[in-house]
Amino acid sequence: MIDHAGAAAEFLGDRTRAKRHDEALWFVRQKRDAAAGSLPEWEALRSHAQRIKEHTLAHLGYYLERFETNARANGIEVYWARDAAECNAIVERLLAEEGARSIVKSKSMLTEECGLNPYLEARGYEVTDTDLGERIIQLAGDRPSHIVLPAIHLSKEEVGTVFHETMGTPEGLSDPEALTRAARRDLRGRFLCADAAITGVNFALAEEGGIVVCTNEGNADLGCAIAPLHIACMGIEKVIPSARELGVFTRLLARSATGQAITAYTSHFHAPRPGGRLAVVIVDNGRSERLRNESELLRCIRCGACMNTCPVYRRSGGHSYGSVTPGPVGSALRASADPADAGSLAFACTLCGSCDAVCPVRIPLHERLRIAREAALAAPTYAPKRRILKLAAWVVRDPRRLEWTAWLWRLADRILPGWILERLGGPWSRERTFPRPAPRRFSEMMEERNG
Amino acid sequence: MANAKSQILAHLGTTPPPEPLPEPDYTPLAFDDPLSAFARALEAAGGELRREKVDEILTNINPKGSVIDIRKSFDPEADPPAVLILAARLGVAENGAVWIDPQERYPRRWIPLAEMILIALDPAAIVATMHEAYAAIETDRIRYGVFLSGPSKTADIEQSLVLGAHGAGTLIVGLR
Ligand code: SF4
Repeated sequence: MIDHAGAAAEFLGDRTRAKRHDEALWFVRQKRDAAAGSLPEWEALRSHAQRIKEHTLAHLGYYLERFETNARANGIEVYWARDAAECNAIVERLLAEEGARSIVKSKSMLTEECGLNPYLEARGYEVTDTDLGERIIQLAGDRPSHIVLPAIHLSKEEVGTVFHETMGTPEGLSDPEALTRAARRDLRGRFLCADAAITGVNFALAEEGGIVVCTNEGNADLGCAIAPLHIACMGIEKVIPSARELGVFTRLLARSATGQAITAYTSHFHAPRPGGRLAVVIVDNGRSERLRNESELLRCIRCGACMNTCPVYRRSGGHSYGSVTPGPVGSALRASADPADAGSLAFACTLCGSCDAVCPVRIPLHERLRIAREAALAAPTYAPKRRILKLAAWVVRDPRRLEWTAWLWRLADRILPGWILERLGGPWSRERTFPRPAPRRFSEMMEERNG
Repeated sequence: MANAKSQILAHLGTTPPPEPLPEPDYTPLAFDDPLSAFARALEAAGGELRREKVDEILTNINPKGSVIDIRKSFDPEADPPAVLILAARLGVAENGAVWIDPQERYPRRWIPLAEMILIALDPAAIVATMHEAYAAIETDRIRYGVFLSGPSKTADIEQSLVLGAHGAGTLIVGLR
């Protein structure tokens, strides 16, 4: 069972790390604000993106079918997978057909969700993550803690140690430039002899029958241009009507993610390269189910802005969420899919609504989390909380009961030692002081005033 | 897997949308001086605009490695060059991106494998935003194409920006 508060306490045990994490993400949030502020039409652009996504999701089958038809006409192979197991099996079959052994991979949240890497590695394939952040995580045997900045939880010294141990860089080397050069050298060799490249898909264009991948490093382009086989895995929600709509999303994505005006590479793959194969795997894995009552969550373009802005995420770290996608959108996805196991994620939220304010496709994240809370409260784990809340409701429903409780509270404050009072709030009062009762009742003061 | 497809689509339904696509209800950003805006955006993306012809830039840089200029005759079987000179179909003022579409005339891999990319851009072909960019491109003729905005970069180690993560570490746009 996911225990967000417990895992967060562990993260906060290292105060230096926690502070650096918080500040780094707040810095990204500020860059996002500056980028958004540079466009007078920003808010209208977000609404437009929301409407396009709503329209596409309402007619998802139609657009997916058009995508397939047009992609096939371009020479792209298209496969469909109901769940993670089918997706992984299709990928393996394609690799086996080509006799591929070594694979270069660029970032894909979907394959992370499907557990593709461990699946392939268990079957003897050599999978190399090529996004620098993901490569660091892979070499460290760690898990990504952010969907855009996978290694945000690590310091440059820690990266240096990982590189020293796995790539033989000089001990103590922690200069980001030198470390990046070392990774580039190592990865270049792997790119040049890879048998297949696996990428995610940021957008699939129904009208043009092509896929679009956005990266800053150019690792997707490099992998796909060299390996004979390119496999792209996409969730069903990635399709948009045409390149015309892409104009809207390419303006929003990088500005929301990192504060850049656009990613360094916005790469269109609309046909296999001469002599090569391009296969797209369209994966459902629970999405069509979600479409029924929480389709808002499928609008997500995985920019990470809701994480960067979230006061809980910044101070608890991505690992504390215990699932592939952390932060507000991750909690909303996970807590609603599995309230019994992930109920604590619904409470990893102050309901401040900061995520809603930055989300480029205007997902009402804090509303989804509030709904998830209701579902979570029904689980047995929250029985004590439920009882306390019921009791509180019972108290405040009657003015006299409220008066008596306040009187009791004042009495306790006078006669009980401070340390007992401080612990009354349980874990809540660990980092907060329990409020002391006011010396006089509000109604008394009002009566006096009104004479 | 025909089964998977029909099952997924049965869930979703495939009737064409009765309503039209949502239209923008805003006027996108415009620039009085698109070339200067482009230069600023490109610089922010780690690239550089030089207001001189690409051939002059090349002479000034005087690079050591091999050079391929796809505007002239070249051998498509050649090894990836150190310096690749490309012609951009258009530039985007809001983000410093240029549209590169090889149309399979030269190998796709030259683009990410070159150490330095020089781009010849007609200043008259600078549009304001991505909306105009996609309207101007013949998107149904793309096989592989890429918007390049500055050089390859990463900030995955403690948010420190490093240019040349995988692809070209230098990207200079000159005039045509
Ligand atoms: S929910 Fe919105 S803000 Fe969060 S990652 Fe998705 S698109 Fe970005």
